[in-house]
Order: sequence, then structure tokens, then C-alpha cells
Amino acid sequence: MANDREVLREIWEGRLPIKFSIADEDKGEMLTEKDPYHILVPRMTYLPLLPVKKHFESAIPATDTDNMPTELWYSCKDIPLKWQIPIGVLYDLVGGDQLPWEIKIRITEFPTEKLQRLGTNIEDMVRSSFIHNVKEAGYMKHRGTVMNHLKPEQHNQLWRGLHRDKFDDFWSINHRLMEHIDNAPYRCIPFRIYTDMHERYIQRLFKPMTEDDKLTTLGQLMKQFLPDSVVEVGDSDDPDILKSYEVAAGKRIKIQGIETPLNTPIQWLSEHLSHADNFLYIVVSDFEQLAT
Amino acid sequence: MSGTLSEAQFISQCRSLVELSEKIHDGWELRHNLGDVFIVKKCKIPFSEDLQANIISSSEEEEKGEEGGVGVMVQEEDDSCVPSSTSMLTVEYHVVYSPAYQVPTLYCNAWHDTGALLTTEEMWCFAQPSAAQDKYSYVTQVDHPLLGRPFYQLHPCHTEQLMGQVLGTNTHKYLVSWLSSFGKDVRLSLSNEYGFL
Repeated sequence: MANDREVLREIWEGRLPIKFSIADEDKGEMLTEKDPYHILVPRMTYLPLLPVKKHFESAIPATDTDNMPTELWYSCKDIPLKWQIPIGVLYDLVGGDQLPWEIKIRITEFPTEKLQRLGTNIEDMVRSSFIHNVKEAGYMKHRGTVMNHLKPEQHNQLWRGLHRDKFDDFWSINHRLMEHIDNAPYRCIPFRIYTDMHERYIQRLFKPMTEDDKLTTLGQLMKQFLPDSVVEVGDSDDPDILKSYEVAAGKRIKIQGIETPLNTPIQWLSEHLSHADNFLYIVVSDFEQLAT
Repeated sequence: MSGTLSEAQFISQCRSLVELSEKIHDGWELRHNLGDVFIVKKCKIPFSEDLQANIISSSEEEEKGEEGGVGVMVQEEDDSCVPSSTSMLTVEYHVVYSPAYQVPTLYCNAWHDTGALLTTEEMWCFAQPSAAQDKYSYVTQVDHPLLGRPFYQLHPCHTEQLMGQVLGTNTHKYLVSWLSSFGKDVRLSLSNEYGFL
């Protein structure tokens, strides 16, 4: 039940250095020039929650040419960044190992077919997206049994803990979402495999334990849902693990920025390496993508 | 009674629905994506004056006690902001199976005749909730699970409970029953013909 507190803490404290600057396309729209903004951000948080807009506020016009409020969006190498995906996952997907990670700020031409809108109350929209995922993940693990017993105030505490970077506040509620009901593993594991920002993610039902009580592994999950990403390497030494896998040549599989050993039980990964919304985000990238 | 539907049942009922739809020219199409089956319907819905009035009053409500202004800035003095009563929305409905909740889920996108996708505030006016509830927990944009781009979704978290109450033993009628009640919330009507499935 997410007992390895050291791991939880380390994951929570994962940070990324980011350099935000106004994209060339929009420099002409700015009211004044502004130097790039350097900030160290938690991997677990979301782009709209960062104080970026505030930093550039004096230079960004309040409304655009259509007299609508200016909508900020972010891109990396001309790829619009989906704000509802945690920052660490975005980086693993398109950051290309670049440090500090360079992100461009756009204030025009919001790509409405590619990015969700934030509306007038940005924080409410991000919170709503977060809680939506927490509910879905909770349902996959326990059906309604835990989620339905959480009061709205506890949803708020979960959200505030994430938003204000308060590990203890967050985990005092999240521990309940990581519970084993009747000492059983989860019904199925909430995960999303991303290979590309703007294509579908892979989310399917996958049990953390086989019918003969063996723990299933990350390798088995990848074999089932993205077979080209792994290769079998003969029988594993561990009698509790069915088959052993390695990452396929030319691929990288990352969770929380870590190239996680494929023989790791998925139940343990779900409890310790999930993001704040309780989903395990698995990012698969090609080596060629990184050479930019 | 269980308010869920298996994926196999979902697919089978989608096929039956589309078969009937083709006979009565109702526009539902079967689609595939990486082995997942879903159904899509496109249509035009008139963008009437009263819908626009809904948007105006909704944005006035949001102005109270909010610092940051409103998403849809409609100034009554400026007639150019108010579309004519003959404009039409292009609407697309998708029905996609949710393996997580084991129920069908309804997605909807709507575009003005300018090609602009409706904003969330506009969609809250377009959608007519059956019960008063927090709009954020009712319909919001999500990434379409099969297409990977933004679509408005009617949240599925209460579907199982509602369908459990409504359906009884008639699980073969699940999809039609679900679509006719949930579809109403986003102005989707289902012909009585489907009742014979």
C-alpha cells in the first residue's frame, strides 16, 4: 500500500529546469521585451499552474485582435503542449533530454483542434481535469468503493496538496486511493502509454496479478499493448515472474523520467510511480527523436 | 441490476444500431481505430437566438464576483458580436466504449459556421443537463481516447448507477436506452424506430 515512503518522496520531489521564452511568431504582439524566465518546476504539476503568465504579464496584451482575452499556450519544437498532461510526462515525450528544457510561449493562434481550452477560470479547469482522472483511476482500481467514500473536501485537499506542493497533505488522502481492499491487488491498473503528443494514448484493462497469483510486470504490460517496444529474453530466474523482457533496440521506455526495469511488478509501480492523478504514465520514445 | 455493459455487447449493439440507422437514413456510422469500435454521427443544429441569449446571461452570471472578465465578451451595443438567427452549428457525436467504467460514453464537438469550435462556456449553454449540477463535473473537454484530440465528454461516472435503475433485465436494449436518455443532454434525438431493436 505505497509503503516505500522514500520512493514516494523522491518521486514527489522530482524537478525539471525550464526556460520559458516568447515564441518568435508572437514577439511582434508583445507590449515590451521580456527576458526568458528560468524556473525549476515539479514534474508532477501542470503547465497552467506555474507562475509563467504572471512573470510575463506586463508584456502580454490582455486581449487579442478579436477583443477576446489572450489565451496562453505552450509549444516545444512547434509541438503544442497538452496542459492536462503532467509536466514530467510532457518532457519525457518531447523534451529530448534537453536541460534546461526550452518551452516557447504563444499568445496567438490557439490550436483549438489540438489543445483543450482553459476558459475563464484556469485553476478550476485544471482542477476539474485532475479530479476527473483521479476518479477514473480510482474506479479502475477499486470500482466505486473508495472514491465514493471520499468527501468533496477530501478531493479539495488532494488538489491543494498537489497545487501547493505539500507532500504530507496530498498523501494523507492519496493513501486511501492506494489501498488494497481486503488485501487484494487492484482490480486493474490505471495506466496510459504515450508515444506521441497528438495521437491517442493506450489505456486498457490490465490485471496486476495472474490467476495463479503471480505478479504481472511492466514488460508483460508493454508486450500486450505495444509489442514492438519490447523483446522477450528467455525465462526469468525469478519463479514469481512469468517471462522476462528487455526494451527493444532503438526505443526508450520511461516512467517519471526513469528507464524502469521491465521486470518490476506493475502493482508496485502503480503504488509508487504514479502521477498525482493516480495514473501511471508510460512514455515510449525512439532514439532518433532525441537527436535534435 | 448491473448498469454496465461488456465491450462485446457494446460492439454488437453498435452494429445493430448502425444497421438500422442505414435503413432509416439517420446518419450513424461505424468506425474503427486500432481494434476499437465506435460510432459517429454528424449533423447540423440551428444556432437559435435563445441559445445566444443563454450565452449572454451565462456570461453575466460569471462576471459577478470574478476578477478576470468573461470568456464570451458579448457587448449588447455592438451588434456585430451577435450571430444571425439563421446560423447553424455543425455537430459531431461519438459513442465510445469506456473499459474503465464498462459503459458507453458520449462525446460531442460543435463548430460555429465560422469553423470555430465551441468554447466550454458555449458548450455548457448548448448542453442541457437533466439535473442541476456542477458544470465542471458534467461536461468538459477531454482527449478523445481513440483520436487523441479535444472532444467534449459527458462524464460517465454516474452512468452505471442510472442505467442500473432504468434497465432491469433488458441488457440487449442498453445502448439504445442509454443513448436516448443521455443524448438529450446534448440535443441528440433518437428516432422511435430504434425502440424496435
